[in-house]
Amino acid sequence: MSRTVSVERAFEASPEAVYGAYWGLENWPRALSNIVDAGADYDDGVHQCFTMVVDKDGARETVRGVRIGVPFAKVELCQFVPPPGFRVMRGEWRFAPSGTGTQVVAERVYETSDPAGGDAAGALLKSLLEKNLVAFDRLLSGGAA
Amino acid sequence: MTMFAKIVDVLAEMDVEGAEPEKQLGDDLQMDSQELVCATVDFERIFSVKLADGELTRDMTVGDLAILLARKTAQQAAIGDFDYALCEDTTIRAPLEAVYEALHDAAAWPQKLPHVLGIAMHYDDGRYQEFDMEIDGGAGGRIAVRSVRRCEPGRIRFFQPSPPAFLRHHCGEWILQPLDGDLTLLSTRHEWRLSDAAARLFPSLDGIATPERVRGWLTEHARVALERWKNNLESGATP
Repeated sequence: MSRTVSVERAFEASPEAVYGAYWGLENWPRALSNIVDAGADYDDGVHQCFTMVVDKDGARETVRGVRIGVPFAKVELCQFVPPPGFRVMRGEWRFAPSGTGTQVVAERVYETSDPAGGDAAGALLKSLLEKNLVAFDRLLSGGAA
Repeated sequence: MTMFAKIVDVLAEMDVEGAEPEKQLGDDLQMDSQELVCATVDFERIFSVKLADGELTRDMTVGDLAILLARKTAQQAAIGDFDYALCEDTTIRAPLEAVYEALHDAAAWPQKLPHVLGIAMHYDDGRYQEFDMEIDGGAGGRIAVRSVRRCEPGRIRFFQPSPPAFLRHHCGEWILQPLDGDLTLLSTRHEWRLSDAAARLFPSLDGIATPERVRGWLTEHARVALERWKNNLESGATP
């Protein structure tokens, strides 16, 4: 059964800047210190196939997926090779103008390999999404990972 | 809500009553040229499309108008900043849900579409799919592509991380719009950039340059696919 988690945060940067930061895979290791490498195997400007190597307690995990961009409004993603413990991981970031900044919503739809683990996985996922938003907000504000 | 029902609502706002799919805007609904101009402005605003001057005519039926507006919606739904685009469509006498189900079930295409020689599904969670597809490229040739799709009722976006050799990038959409009752407009939109190999694989011939030859090939391919889906869904037969 699919479950959904969602978090949001107000960024000072414009939707164009926020969209660009999320779309550019080269920004991911800069924003998040546990991301060792990230790159696109295919990128036509609005569709990407990406690979991301994540350090988790000293072990390397590789996730592979696709992203679809709607410039300055939304980045959708689906991980064809989801993180360990998940059967399905997809979702989106939505960017809405808010004053001179941007209201960012990060949403994930997920299914766990163990159906009983849904609640715990959801709490973990929500925590990771909140860290993700903080990290990109900091990157756009000129801070380091 | 079907396109026909939306049009009936717009016309009712203009005090034009009695709209039926087969009724003409002029003789049957008594719309004069001034009312057609006002209707054009309203349709452009409501459906977010551009209509040319004189595109709405008195001899057009409400059914024709539904197809025109649905077609414009699909034609003007650009995906990105690609070099080339095409949009083809057909009406299918089948509910939108049945058309969507047939398009979504990619694994069954080789049984339904003769030009699809094989599908190897790598990922399918209902919304996203990734598969390798082999199609008949004509003259005994086979073309292999890898396709990724995001599926939602009414719209299936695709892009090809491994496109045919003559394309650098290739993406598009199947756009399904309910016209009236069980009548669905199925549009297929393609956008692309040529690869360096295009000039070798589609050299200029008889005054037709490489880009137009590629467009011709893709257009023909799109029309054949639409015709086969129409035949398949309306008769239930394998064409």
